[in-house]
Formats: sequence, structure tokens, C-alpha cells
Amino acid sequence: MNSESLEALVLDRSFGELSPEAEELLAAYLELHPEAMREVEKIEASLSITKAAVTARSDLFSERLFSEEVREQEAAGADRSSKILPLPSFRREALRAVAAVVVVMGVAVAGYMVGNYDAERVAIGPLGGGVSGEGIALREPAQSVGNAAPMPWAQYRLTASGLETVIANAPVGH
Amino acid sequence: MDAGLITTFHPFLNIDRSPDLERLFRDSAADLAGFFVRRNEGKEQADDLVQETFLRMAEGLEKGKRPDNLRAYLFGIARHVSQAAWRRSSREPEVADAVEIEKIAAAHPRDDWVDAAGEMIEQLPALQREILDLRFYHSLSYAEMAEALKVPIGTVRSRLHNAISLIRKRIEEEEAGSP
Repeated sequence: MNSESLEALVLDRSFGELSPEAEELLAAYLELHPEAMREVEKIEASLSITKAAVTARSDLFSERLFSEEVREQEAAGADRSSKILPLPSFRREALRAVAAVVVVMGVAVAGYMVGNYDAERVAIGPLGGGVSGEGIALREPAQSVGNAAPMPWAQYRLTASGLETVIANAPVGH
Repeated sequence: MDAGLITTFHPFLNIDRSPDLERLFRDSAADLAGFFVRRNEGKEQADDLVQETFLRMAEGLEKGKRPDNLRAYLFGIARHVSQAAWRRSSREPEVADAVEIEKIAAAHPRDDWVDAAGEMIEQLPALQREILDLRFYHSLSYAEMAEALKVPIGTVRSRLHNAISLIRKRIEEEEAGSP
């Protein structure tokens, strides 16, 4: 797992935004890679410092600074692109069809994986047409924004090299 | 304040059948007051702005709005109330503002790493700073922030992660530069 993915997962976990299944997978990964714990400690320390800074520096969050800038940004439209890992290039329709099956498989296999993890044998099968992937894909619970249809905002995949974050940012089909 | 505010709402709501709203008020009033004190530098009475926010929420509900998340809806209204209050408040002379800011800063102990984080936050665009504020000071979830800010959840998540990543790099630079 690269440091970017690890950071994203640790942040999601710290904010209580990881599903129980993904938390288990992350815990299993960290148990098998104790060297990653140092990185996790640094990430969590930076969260404490950020919280202290946000609390101490109320001058940075004054309406004086927000009003005009925020209004301009909102008028221009918020950036809808994700800066984290993009989805692989396969059809979203195929992903939706497969994901329903994979979630059920993933939960069952995750239990097996936590108890009997063997990097050489992680091979669940392809995730979708055209993707030569292997591993488990776990979809985060669907989230909704306002009155928009529910959309997944994150999913995680356990591969031979570790837990990877594959983000679906834009609403599927919107 | 609780009894007075609930009485004020009574013409709009049947409080007896709104235990959720009553609980929301109990849970959120202090948090909202803190939000307004920070956003308006103490210029407008926070209690008045909290009351205005709940009134607007009640009016919205009376008109048929049915938000998925009341707390997020409340914070979305609070942002607009805060902006309106700032626009109508009389501006203090710049010198007095600087003194007030220094007083606020002096009230909180700092260290080099917190200072470094503050410097990084200062450079972030308004939306990212607002997300940091809503997450770390007001403890809103990704979904609540998305609702309050009217942006996709993915945007909230990516902006928040990006901000923390930048702050973390700045802290590591500070750490590397320390003796």
C-alpha cells in the first residue's frame, strides 16, 4: 500500500468514516506491516496539531475572510473532481453490477483473510469487464448529498500488495 | 435561554411533537454560539444569531423542507446567517480589530508545530479552511459538511485530506528544521 492510500484510510478511520469491514482490513494490514505503524502515528499526531491550530487560530476562520472569497468560489462552482486515486478505466455500469456480488463475497472473504492472510493467494477474480485485477472490493455505505440520489464515495480493495483506496467521487449515473 | 427560545419557536412548531428538534436545539445551541463568535469576531450577539438560525430552520420546515440531516441543514443556515450578520455589522477601526485578534491569539498557548500548522492553514483557500473548521472545531461528518456547504461528499473528503496532507508536510519541515 502506498503512503497516500494509507494516509487516506487512517484519516477516514480517525473521522469515524470507515465501515467496520474496512476498519478490519486496515487493522489486518497494520498487523502484518508493523513498519507502517510509525507512519500512522505521524498522521495521527498531525491531526492533533491541526485541531490545536484550528482551535487556537480563530482569526483564520472569520467571516471577514470567508464572505467574499467563499461567495466567489460558490458562484464559480466547487471543484467536483477527486484528487485521490481515480477509478480504473472500466465501465461504471459493469462496476455497479459486479459490486453487489463482490460486497457479499468481500465480507465473507474478509473474515477468512483476517484469520488466514497470505499475500500470495489473494485472488478473488476480476472486478469488472476489462480489469485484470484481483482482490476484494468493499464498497463504503452509500452517502447522499441533499436530495441527490445516494452515491458511493469511497471503496477499498485488498490486493496482494495491501489495502488500496479506489475512489468513486462523482455520482454514478449523474 | 432554552425556555425562551422554545417559546419563540412555538408559533411555528408543535414542540410536543418535535422531540427531535428539541434535542437538536439542546445539542446544537452552544456549538452554534461558538460558530458565530468565531465567524463574527464577537461583533454580533451570538445568542441572537443562534435564535435567528433556529427561526429560519423552523420556517423552512414549516414550508415543507425535509432535510436528511437536521444538523447539517442547521449549519448550512448558520453560514448564511453569519454572512448576513457580517455584512450588516458596523466595521471596527482596523487598529481595534488587530488588537482583538491578538487577544484571541494570546488566549491560546502555541508551540512551533501548531504555529507551523496555522501558517499553512492561512495559505489555504477559503473552502478548505471552512472544511477544516467544520471538521475539527464543530465535528461535522463528511456528509454533514457536504450538506452544509452544498458540495459533493467527494469534494469535502478530498479537500480535507489534501489540507491535512499539506499541514503534515509543513509540520515535518518544521520538525526537520528544529535543532
